[in-house]
Amino acid sequence: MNDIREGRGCVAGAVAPMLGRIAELVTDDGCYVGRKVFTDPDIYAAEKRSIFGKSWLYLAHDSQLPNAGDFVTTYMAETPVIVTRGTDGEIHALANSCSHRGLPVCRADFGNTKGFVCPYHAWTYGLTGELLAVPQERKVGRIDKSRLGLPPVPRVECYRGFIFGSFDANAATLDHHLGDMRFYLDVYLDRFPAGVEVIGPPHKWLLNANWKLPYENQLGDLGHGAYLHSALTGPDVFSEAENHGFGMVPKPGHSAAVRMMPESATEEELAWGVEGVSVGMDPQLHDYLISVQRKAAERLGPVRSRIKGLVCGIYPNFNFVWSNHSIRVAHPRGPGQTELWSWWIVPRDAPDAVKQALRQQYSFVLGPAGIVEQEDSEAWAQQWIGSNVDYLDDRPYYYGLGQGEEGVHPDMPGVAGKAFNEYYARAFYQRWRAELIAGETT
Amino acid sequence: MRRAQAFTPAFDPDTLRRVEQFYYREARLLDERQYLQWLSLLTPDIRYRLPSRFIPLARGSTRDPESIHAIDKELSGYDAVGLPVREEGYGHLAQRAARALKPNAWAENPPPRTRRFVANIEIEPLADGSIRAFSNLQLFHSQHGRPDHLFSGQRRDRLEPADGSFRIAEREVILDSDIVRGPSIALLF
Repeated sequence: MNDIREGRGCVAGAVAPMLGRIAELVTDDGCYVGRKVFTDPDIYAAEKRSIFGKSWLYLAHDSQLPNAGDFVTTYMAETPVIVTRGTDGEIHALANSCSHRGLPVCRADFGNTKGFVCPYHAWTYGLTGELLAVPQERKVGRIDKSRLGLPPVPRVECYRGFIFGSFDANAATLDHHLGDMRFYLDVYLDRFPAGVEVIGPPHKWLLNANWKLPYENQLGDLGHGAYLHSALTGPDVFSEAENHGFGMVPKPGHSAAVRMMPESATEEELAWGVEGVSVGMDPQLHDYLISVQRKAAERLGPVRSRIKGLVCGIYPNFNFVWSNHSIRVAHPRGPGQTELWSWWIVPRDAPDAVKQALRQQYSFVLGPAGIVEQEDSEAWAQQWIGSNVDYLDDRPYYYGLGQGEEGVHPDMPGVAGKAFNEYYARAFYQRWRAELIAGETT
Repeated sequence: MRRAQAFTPAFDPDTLRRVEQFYYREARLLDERQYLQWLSLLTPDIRYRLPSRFIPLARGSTRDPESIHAIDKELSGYDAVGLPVREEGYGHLAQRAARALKPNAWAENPPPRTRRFVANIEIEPLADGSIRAFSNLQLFHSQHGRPDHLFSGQRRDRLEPADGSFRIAEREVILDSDIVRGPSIALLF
């Protein structure tokens, strides 16, 4: 089997001096992060090799591929990938690039098909990537097609319907990668008896920003809400996050920003989804959300049903915004641009009218037209401007808020930081640095 | 996806002229950032929709060759199994208008300089007295610190007569990009 790696073929001589640079760009404690972390093309090339080339990357949700022959196209960093459901019922992920001249063999965003035909010379591939037909064989004789399939992504694994792939054939399992992050995902995913589903195509928009910024924001930046978004919300909206909020880091690089609501909290205060409603509350929606919360107490137990999520992140570039029904991936497009893909995710067994009401809470608040997210997109683009100021290379960004105050929580796994503690980001950049150094050394 | 709605434009120079003037006024109000006055051009029950646009698998049909690339096959968000970019009512639009006029709405401060061009207007009078109007929109967007951008799209409106002019009762905005490269599509198109 061929395996495909991000950025393979980089000049080896460029690596050694860069190791020193990487080590200098982030301090050991993660409190200072240099501006070049976000802008340097060599750092970006190293990220593609040593982070995107090795980590588990989100591909698709199970519900997008219910039938044999279903496919969606996506990216792993900048590598175009087709995710298929084969006739064997299994999920496969293939590089979307013909073995003959490299053209993408699939041009649609999603659909159902028997296989993929390259436009150039009609080399034809099956759903698992095997090369089925080379029309030129009739003219020139047989070739060994067994070695010329679409390169498969060597590892594909699934957690509760979330499909991830890794370019690293030797990567530890997805379960290992997620670790205790599963505890926080389950608080959402196990809340609904019939599970969740992704509906429709994702929103896709291009940010003039480095990929780490949107990821870092939605990893746990509770500190910006009351300020960047103050045009929409009074300060009291964020007091719940301030009073009950925790940035939980089950593993460096991942994080779940949650509120652990007190035992005295009402159903209304606890219920998932109520807080996301921005304009008017449909009575049917309200009843549905309350009924979900009642069931959640039975399904998740008295402690976990009091956890109310905000945002979370799975290293390196997958986020989930719990309150407004969105999962998203920050696809890097060079150091200075990011394609943000954002999907709408809902409880599978919700009535259509409820789904539609939830959909409005997603699209009005988040996404390329989101009344909240438009401010975030602006902030990320502005950060790119600041990061490019060469004269300020000796003034790294400060990530030290709350340093040393992080500790443990009796009911939730991982390192716990209070709402404004930037531990989640320090841990991310520490892991980022360690993986780059390790990857570039070997 | 959904079936394309039948659109049968009529030749009615007088109504067309009035629709045209209505759109010019609307464009001027938005370009001059008079968002609250723009709200008065909407009916209280306006349906404002912007479907998302994707690339479907092309399927040919010998019986209906033009259906292979029908625009409506690329649009998502009209039914329960799709996802629009926007589906809003008056309350949502009023909230956008109010936000855009606040100093701490940072995506709007400094404000973008916009210029809307409305063209290719076609109208169809409907039995209930309202008018279906299709038009093309180009929106030039310039803002400090970012590249200029030109939005392009079609608007499919239903206008209701009001006070010698019109109010917008339905608006559908079909943008031509799939990956949004512009600064934001939270704008009032």
